[in-house]
Amino acid sequence: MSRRGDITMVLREARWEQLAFWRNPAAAVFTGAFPVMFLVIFGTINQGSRIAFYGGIRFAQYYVPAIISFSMMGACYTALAMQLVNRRESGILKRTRATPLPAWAVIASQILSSLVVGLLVSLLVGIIGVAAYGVHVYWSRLPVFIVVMLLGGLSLAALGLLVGSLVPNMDAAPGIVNFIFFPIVFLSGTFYPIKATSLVSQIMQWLPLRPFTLSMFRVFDPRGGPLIDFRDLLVLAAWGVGSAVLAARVFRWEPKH
Amino acid sequence: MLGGPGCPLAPAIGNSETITVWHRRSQPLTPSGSANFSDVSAVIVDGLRKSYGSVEAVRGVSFAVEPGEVFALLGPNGAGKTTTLGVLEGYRDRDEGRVEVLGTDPAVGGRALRERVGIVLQDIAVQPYLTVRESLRRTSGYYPRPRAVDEVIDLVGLGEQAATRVRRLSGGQQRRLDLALAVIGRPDLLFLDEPTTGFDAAARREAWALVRDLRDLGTTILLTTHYMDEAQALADRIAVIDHGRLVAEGTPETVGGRDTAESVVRFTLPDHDDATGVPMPDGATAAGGVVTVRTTEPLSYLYTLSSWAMRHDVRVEGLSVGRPSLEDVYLQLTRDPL
Repeated sequence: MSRRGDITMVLREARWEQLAFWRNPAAAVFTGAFPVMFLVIFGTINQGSRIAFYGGIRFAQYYVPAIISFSMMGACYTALAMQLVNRRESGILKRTRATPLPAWAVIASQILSSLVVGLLVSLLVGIIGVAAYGVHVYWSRLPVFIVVMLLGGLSLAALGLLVGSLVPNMDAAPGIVNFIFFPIVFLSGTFYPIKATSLVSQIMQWLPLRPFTLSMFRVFDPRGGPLIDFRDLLVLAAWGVGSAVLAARVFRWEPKH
Repeated sequence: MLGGPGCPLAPAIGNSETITVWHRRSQPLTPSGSANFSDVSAVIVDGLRKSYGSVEAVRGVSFAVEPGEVFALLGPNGAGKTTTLGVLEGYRDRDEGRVEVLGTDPAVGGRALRERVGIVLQDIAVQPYLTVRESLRRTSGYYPRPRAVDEVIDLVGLGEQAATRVRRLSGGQQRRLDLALAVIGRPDLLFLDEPTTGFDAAARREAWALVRDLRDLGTTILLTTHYMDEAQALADRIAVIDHGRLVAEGTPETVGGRDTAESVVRFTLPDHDDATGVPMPDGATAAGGVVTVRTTEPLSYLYTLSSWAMRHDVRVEGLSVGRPSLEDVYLQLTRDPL
């Protein structure tokens, strides 16, 4: 098949994935409503407060980009990992393997679909941030925003596919996936800013979510420092490449017997 | 041929209302198979071996499935049916032996082969949040020359459920969707792994009618089953597999020497207290007024019996001539561990 045919195939498949995803109430609520809920709760609690160690900027100006990275993690890591386990254990993945749809197209369409979900939730978070909390958007930084979104989303998706492949069965999935998810979210300063000089930050800067959150924050940072921290982007990319290489080795089409 | 007057199960098939609906479809179905492989077997298995650890699941199985036929792998649970099918489907690698599916090694067949083969696995696995029609439209997009979605919905009798989300279908309806998904790509060859396990009697008859429809459309079908009546009702040829080995192969009429085995003649003599004077060849028994005669020449025995009865004006009642059923043969073949 031609390259155009391949692209069409992935786009078509991703469209079906979208349809199925938003019809699944559990996925839609956890992935879509959670970030909005956290935004409203923390945004309202901290309304009017400022962050001293970020030069006294308004809380929401940090918090909205942080919740955008949280949204991407929910869509590209958590939802993708859970979906992978679910499909594998229920036999849907094995069933798909029987069709001419190539393996790479199965994976690519699911990653693409998770990126779209993350983007839609991020847009919702951004709109609420602007409308309710007066967050300022720097439109000239849009290209950097897109690069950070894509890099973060792809890296987290690779991690999601890796963790989903390592999960032994459906019963273990929520525990393992969230056991990794929640501590990283809290310690990465996603719900509350963490000083860059703190020990927590020194450790978490080598995990994927902290570099992602900080890179996203730079796009919204009113102080006008450097828009890109290459070490952060490299750490993020390294996690993505490493996860993808490992995931390709441990990926399974069928449940373990 | 199966389904004709010679098949004792045939008259029961048309009774179900659902099936009547299936056969009253508005447009004729388009046949399977653009490929012409008339002089090539659809499936060749030659000396197949497959072990899981120290367990030898398949121990040297050989058979061939010819284009256009329904071939049944019949055997008890754990006989090696699903493992054999798994190798043919490309899910399992093999330890030894030659395997060809539509002229290709399934281990390396890839996309081109998967475009021509339909697979129904033992477990139902369908995307729960799409509707029946959406699922079929999605899957039809994977194939170069798919059947029309509505045609296939008609074929499996899911017309009323076309707009229903899959998770709201009954188990039997999900099974039918599973089958619909397997044939939407107009496969030349269809693998069915225990297609009616867990079905009630009516659902089995419906599934059987569906398999016959697909066969009539030119689809070659390889199915596994542990139901003897299913193999008898559907298959043109049967291979009996047990403990990883083929123990018999043939048509439902001949498998396991059914056609050459002794016939059993039974009758009662209501006016006779004992069997004195009755023609009784060797091995015949008379118990409780019922005479049982085993013979390889039932016709000539019946001639002897009837002329004796006429001559002596004896009433013979409840006369039956039976051949060993497929079940008798099957139980005989799979009774002893090899």
